[in-house]
Amino acid sequence: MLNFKMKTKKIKNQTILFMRILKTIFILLTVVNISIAQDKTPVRFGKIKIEDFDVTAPAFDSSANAVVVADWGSSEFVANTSDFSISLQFTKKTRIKILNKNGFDAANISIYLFTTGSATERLEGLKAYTYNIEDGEVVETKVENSSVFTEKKDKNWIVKKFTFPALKEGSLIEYSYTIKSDFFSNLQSWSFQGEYPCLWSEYNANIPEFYKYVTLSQGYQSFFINTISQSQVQFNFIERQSIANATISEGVVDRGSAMQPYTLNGLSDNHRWVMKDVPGLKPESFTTTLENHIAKIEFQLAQIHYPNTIPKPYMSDWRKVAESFNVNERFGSLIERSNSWLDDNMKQIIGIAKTQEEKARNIFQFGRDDIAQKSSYGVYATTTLKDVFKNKVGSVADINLLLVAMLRHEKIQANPIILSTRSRGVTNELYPLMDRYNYLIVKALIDGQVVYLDASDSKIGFGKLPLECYNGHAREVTKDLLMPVYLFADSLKESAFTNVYITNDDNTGKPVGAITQNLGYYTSLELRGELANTNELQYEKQFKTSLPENVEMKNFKIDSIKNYDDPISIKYETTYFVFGDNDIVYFNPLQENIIKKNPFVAAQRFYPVEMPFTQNQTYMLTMEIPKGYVVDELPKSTRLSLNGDEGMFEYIIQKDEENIQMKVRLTINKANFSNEDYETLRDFFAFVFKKQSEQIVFKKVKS
Amino acid sequence: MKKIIAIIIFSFPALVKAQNYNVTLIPDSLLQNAEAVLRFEESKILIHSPKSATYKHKYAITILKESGDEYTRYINHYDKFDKLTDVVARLYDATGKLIKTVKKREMDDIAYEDRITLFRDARVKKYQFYNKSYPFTVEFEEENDLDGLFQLPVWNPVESENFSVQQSNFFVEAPIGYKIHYKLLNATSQPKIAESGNTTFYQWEVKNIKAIEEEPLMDDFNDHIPGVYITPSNFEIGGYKGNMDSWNDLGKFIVELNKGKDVLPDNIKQEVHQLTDSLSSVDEKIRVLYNYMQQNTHYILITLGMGGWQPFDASYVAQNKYGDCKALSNYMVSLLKEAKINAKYVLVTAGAGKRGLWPDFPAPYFNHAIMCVPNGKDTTWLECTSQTESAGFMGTFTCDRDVLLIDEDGGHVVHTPIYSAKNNLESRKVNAIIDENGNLVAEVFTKHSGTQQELQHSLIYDANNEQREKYLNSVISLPTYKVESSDYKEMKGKIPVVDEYLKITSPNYASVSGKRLFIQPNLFNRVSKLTPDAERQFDIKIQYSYLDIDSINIKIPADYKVESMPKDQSIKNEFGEYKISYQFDGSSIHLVRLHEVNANSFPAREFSTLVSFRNAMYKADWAKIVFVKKAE
Repeated sequence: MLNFKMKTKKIKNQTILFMRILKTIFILLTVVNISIAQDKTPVRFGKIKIEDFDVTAPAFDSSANAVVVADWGSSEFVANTSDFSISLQFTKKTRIKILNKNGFDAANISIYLFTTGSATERLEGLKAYTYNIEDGEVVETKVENSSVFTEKKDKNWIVKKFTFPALKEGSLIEYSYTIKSDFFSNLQSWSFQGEYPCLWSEYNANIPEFYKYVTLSQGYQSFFINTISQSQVQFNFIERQSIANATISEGVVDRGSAMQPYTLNGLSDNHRWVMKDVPGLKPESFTTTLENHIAKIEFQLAQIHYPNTIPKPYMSDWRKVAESFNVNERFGSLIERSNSWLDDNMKQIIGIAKTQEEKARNIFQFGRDDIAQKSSYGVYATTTLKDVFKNKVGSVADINLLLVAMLRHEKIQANPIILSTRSRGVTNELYPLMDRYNYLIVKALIDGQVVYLDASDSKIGFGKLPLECYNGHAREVTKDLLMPVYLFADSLKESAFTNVYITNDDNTGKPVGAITQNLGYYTSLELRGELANTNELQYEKQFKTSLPENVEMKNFKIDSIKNYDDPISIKYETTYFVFGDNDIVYFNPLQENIIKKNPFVAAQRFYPVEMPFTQNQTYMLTMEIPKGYVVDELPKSTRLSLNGDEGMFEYIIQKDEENIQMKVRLTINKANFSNEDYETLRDFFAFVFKKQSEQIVFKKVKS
Repeated sequence: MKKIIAIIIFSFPALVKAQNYNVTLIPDSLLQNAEAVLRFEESKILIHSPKSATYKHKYAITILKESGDEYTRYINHYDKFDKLTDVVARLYDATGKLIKTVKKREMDDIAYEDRITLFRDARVKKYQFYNKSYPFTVEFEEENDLDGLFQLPVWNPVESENFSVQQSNFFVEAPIGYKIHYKLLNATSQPKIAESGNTTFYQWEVKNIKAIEEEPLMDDFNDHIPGVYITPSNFEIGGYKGNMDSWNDLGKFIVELNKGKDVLPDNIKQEVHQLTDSLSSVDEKIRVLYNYMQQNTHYILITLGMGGWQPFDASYVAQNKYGDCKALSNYMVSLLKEAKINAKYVLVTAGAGKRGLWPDFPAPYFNHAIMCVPNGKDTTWLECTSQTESAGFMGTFTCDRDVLLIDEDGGHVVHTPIYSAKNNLESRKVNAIIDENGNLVAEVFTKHSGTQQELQHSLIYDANNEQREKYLNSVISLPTYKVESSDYKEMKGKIPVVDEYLKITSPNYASVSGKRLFIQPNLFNRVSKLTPDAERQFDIKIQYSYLDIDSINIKIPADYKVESMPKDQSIKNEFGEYKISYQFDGSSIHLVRLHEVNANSFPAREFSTLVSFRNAMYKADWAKIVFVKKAE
């Protein structure tokens, strides 16, 4: 069983620890701090004095357009004495200072309420005021109830929306509300970090012993206060007909038959978390998702255990999750049965394929090319596999579970792997927090080789996965276990190769080139997507435009556009008209830039650099020295390494009487770099960028 | 006799059985350049009375390839004036066999949301088919109840580029004697008109329209497609009556909607007087009140009921300090009125490059409200949703188009300001030094005016220091660089001017390679190439006029002499003027570049001239000067 107050990692030195290590989710340690006077919430909500307006952009986020002066929240369990139930009660109070017009957006508030249709979270006691100083006095303007709009977003969410009136630069806005909820699994999470910097962010959670939650925390900011204290709690249910022998399950008391008051006593763990001076979130390139970096606390309901009852588990262990997956009619039972309805269909799909691999390829291609993916994520099937097969449309899970069923039908070992995509954020390795998982792929064992498959992506090859899948920890669903599987971006190598061969044309004497570019696999995937939206002719035009002046192109060919297993290769021929008329010709031997644009230009970096793959690019040139010219100057050969063996750039060029030979190579051996490595990385790319613009100087032979 | 024919014509579609969507029935000519083909469309507006109509719309599109997938989507925004009563979606395979039927209740129904709306009392019904067996056909059949006639559905069979049309019909039915107006786009033919019983029938039809392939610098797509706009004569909506026979009449309706919405609370009236009573000139009063409005309000879009057309009261804005374009423009008109300045509310079709209204066809296809203080050619135009715009400047969002000015006596068509090349100036002076390692340090002084200061205006007001720095460090097309410092100064006016100062360092900007130094002296203003197109079909449209002048001085390390210097260029033709000159005085490079463009349209055959003009500029703009070390 799960031990709730498990001690795992020290959170001391967490800043350093987590700046270095990408893994951000850890289990909170319950440290008891001694409360001291200045640890009190520094704001008295609802009481605004002139001096409260004295808030400017903090030094740690000096460009801020608005500042959250204080953000205070609490969650507790309360008895609804009259209707015999317990509710979760979340209260939030927030004060924001609007520094300038660009901060007015901070005054548009949306409050989300969960609903199942029959039960809905209730918003109570919403109060919102704008405060301004007019003639030396604090003037308040209320948000009227009529200005609070209710929007039914979809079947699970209702949104209450409002904006603050009488807003000016320098206004303070304050709002508070309570949400009453019957959904114990929805103990509100708390983000200490948002778009605007926050001076004081505090969350209190008072959790009676009947309820066990797992607490998850992430981010780079350290807690200013992180305490836990215990107190007695009592839930009283008194009404005209009270109860003896009452039992309680979920939050609802079963009144039984007799007539006595019913009281529930217990201890409560009272948590208090405070962060001070948290900077606003800032998007940066090469981050998987800001979700992974934001400072926040989340809760997962693990167990409910009322006195004199059997504990009811809500979050189980990996084994139990595996069991539930296996019996689920939208998961395990779809692939565990024999699926004999496939018998005839499979004959067609398999065709003349003999080996396991041939069969697997045919099955995969059928799934990928014939079944359309509807835009819905999630790890459970949305319908039956028969339906997916018949209608030729399905979600990611539908298509890939069908793939599993078809592979198994042909006696090829295959299991689903569930994961969370990069843009959704990392999954927890310790706890089976299944909400996060949003994608399903297939692991097949073909002739003893592990092959990962995703037939839901319409342009991916056999044995390849979309980049979004490479998000570290994932789980393979076997018959009775959820086995950890790791898909790291570091394990992916994007290899590209360009070969340029320039000779002097026998007839015209002009240099002509034959160029072959073998793109990297994922670069090819991107280009395939692009080509689906234009056509080859347009792409050729576009390509032509990107060539240097005085270079003419012909016989442009793109290979393997539809051959999704292989990278695309581009071939074309060139003629260099610059030679002949000019006494001096400056010629860049790199006909194609190794890097198009320096990806790292920002002076500073807050988050780790998370690239989608490692890289290996090679460029080879053989060039016959143009007729009538001699080489006056060649760029210098050079070699530069990145942090030892983490990367390398090599630029080697030499000549003999007739030819110039060149080899340029760029390798980056890891995908993830800590933000401390940022400067090194930036300078490395800057060097590559500079070097790739160097020219060969040819001079005409004076005759 | 006429009536009998009419009955035959107009009963016919109703009798048509299921259409045959077999893809082999698509003529080859419609497959060229097409992602999708409109196989069949029947669009019907049944006008029952000035305040009620039914819109029935059935259409089928064959998707030929992946890039046509967007046409499998159905989206309908509905509200209390435009109720979606029913919709059915069907999927057919290539042979035309029905594969799937989706009913209204199976479709998603979500809240209305967009980037600028806080709340709108509308909802969205949507559905999308996912299919991979190209080609296939989707069919949608919808019915909408229009509660009130105002904006009637448009018949617009060619949805976009790469979209061909096999057949489309448009029907309008109205009670006999009920007048409607219609605007025929481009070559759309006149309708067949007939009467039967109590109803007048109008019918349009198009067949076999080939797909249009987009071309660079193409004139407006809408100038090449057929279509019909319908407006009612007498109409009624939300309890208001109006008439659309003339722009003046449509204006009267707006007067009615706005009536009584201009009452300011006393405290605001007092403020107006305090601010303006001592000022003598009208211009100054406008400026002060505009500034007051900008300082005290901001843009929030809440649309309830008639709120799509009717502004919130001036008193509502006064109290809440926010409003949308209508509310803020109406508020500004009210403030000016209090200062005895006669200002007018104006409706406009906003958006860069959008055309204005059709002077000959009164119709309510506006998306924005502004206002003006009329005074002949010195009319002052005010954009009230901006808290930072100069009084009197319109910008690319609203400039140069016909708009509807609302006066007490109704609507009047007027034109917003046109800005000339000289108004839209970007004049840049650069002083730079390159050291012996090729590192560049440049001080850049740029004067931006008119439409060429919109970006800088936004950098001043809409970005904070961090965002500005981030932006500046990403947009300049230097390989590696840093903006060390920046400074902006705005001079407000009818033609606003922004002075920009940038200090930029660019390591290794010049390439030092052995004994040579390669420098691209035109640092900041380079055009891109244009690909020739022998089969250019559409006319060329140059949207904006502007004038760029760059004057660049770059000091280079000692002991270098010129090895190669690009040739000076001077080209002048109907597309504009371009001049560039390069000089080296022994220690510094001096470059002067001028580029003037005048908005205009040109026939397609001129495209090759434009290409060679542009490519000559490209060559000169990107040219390098090569220096070589003097012999030691």
